[in-house]
Amino acid sequence: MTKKQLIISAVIAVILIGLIVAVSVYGKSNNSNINDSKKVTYPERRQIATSIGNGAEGSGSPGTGTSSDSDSNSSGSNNSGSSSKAAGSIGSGNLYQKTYKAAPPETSGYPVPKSHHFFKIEGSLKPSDPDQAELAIYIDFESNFEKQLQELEKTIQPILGQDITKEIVAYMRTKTSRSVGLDKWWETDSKKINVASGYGSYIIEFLSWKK
Amino acid sequence: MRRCSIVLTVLMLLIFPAVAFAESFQETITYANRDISARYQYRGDFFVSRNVNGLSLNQNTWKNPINLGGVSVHALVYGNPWGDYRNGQYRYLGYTIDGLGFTNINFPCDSKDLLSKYIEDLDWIEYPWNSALVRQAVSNMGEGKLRRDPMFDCLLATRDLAYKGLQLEKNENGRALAGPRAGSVPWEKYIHVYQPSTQYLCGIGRMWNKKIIGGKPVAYYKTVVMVPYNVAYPPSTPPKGEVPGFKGELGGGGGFR
Repeated sequence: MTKKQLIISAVIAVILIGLIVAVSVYGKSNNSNINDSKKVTYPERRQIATSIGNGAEGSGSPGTGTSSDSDSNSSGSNNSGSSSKAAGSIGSGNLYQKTYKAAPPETSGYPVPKSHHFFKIEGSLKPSDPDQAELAIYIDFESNFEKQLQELEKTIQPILGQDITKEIVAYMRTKTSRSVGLDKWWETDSKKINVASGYGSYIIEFLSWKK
Repeated sequence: MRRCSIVLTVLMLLIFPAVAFAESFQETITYANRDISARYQYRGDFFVSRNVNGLSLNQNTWKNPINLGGVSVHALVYGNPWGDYRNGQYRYLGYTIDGLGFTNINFPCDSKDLLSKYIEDLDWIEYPWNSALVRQAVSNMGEGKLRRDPMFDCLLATRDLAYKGLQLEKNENGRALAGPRAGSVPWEKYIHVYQPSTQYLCGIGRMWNKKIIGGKPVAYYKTVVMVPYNVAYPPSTPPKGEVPGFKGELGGGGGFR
């Protein structure tokens, strides 16, 4: 191996490394705002909302929702269940709103608090369909978890009794991170209950059916 | 030493493309997560490194998109394709984060109804996550548990994105799947979303229809692609320059530009 060969090898290596760096830098510059995303709003989102005539902006802030399906996950949307519009036609409406109209949660017979911190609470999506849960309570375990559990306890204890209520709340408390999945059933004389939470999710759902 | 230099050169040539393009998959995930967080107010990352069963996102599946009427459908699935194998396709592309089967839109439909009927003429099951029939069907298929996604199911946007996706599909005879009334169906009520649409990434979900066979109801599924937002709602004015630093890729869920 001569000195010349060594130099040639080194030059080739430097050129290739240079190319790699150049391509990486070019890629970064094309996507230069990856690290700035928190400061950037979504122009395409604003355009969509404007172009379809968004008249459904709304919010449900935690602790204030009492409507049939109040939703602290605003998503820039009003989830008050008033959006069952002409099918297929986006027409006016926020793209990120839910389109069903759930029955008020009070129709389930549970004493639903007027003010709460639940992520969402709603009655049946189709009251005539026994497959549909009569009450769904969604709890965000990463935000006001204890308050939500207390409110849940007050809501379900008069119907399900103390023992099952305690079991349910204790089971919900085992969701200590997103990587904990939940899925458990309870039955009383009149109700069937499911508590579940998906892996990776921060929402725990409490569902109640009539038996 | 000459041998060394040749080996070095070959190695560099091999490494170069791998390094140069390795970022794109990671960027896809980054963009998709940022888009989903901003668009749907989903807190944190929707796509994570591993699903409930410890399977990681499959780069090979993502790298081989399905062509649906000219739209590239990139699926971000966990694990490898699995299930029945027909016409060179697996029934499932992989799994969802929750371990549910992530169905493959190219797998032949189990029911042949779409050969004679339009998609809107089948008896689609509303809110399928609550249907005992659907839950039983999913369980019979040996999949995970179907549950409603409180973030992505039943969104108004899904109606239009799914309709535009269905318009891209043809049945086995080459006839359009969507008929004249498909635009007046509230598709979002029937679809369970696995992968929400982003600006540049297709959404993917599944819906179930009911058939009576031998006097008993049976649920058949259909995988549905929801087109990306940029296909359904092309920006009327270029976003470039509207926001400082915005170059059109943000929230791309793919960084294909």
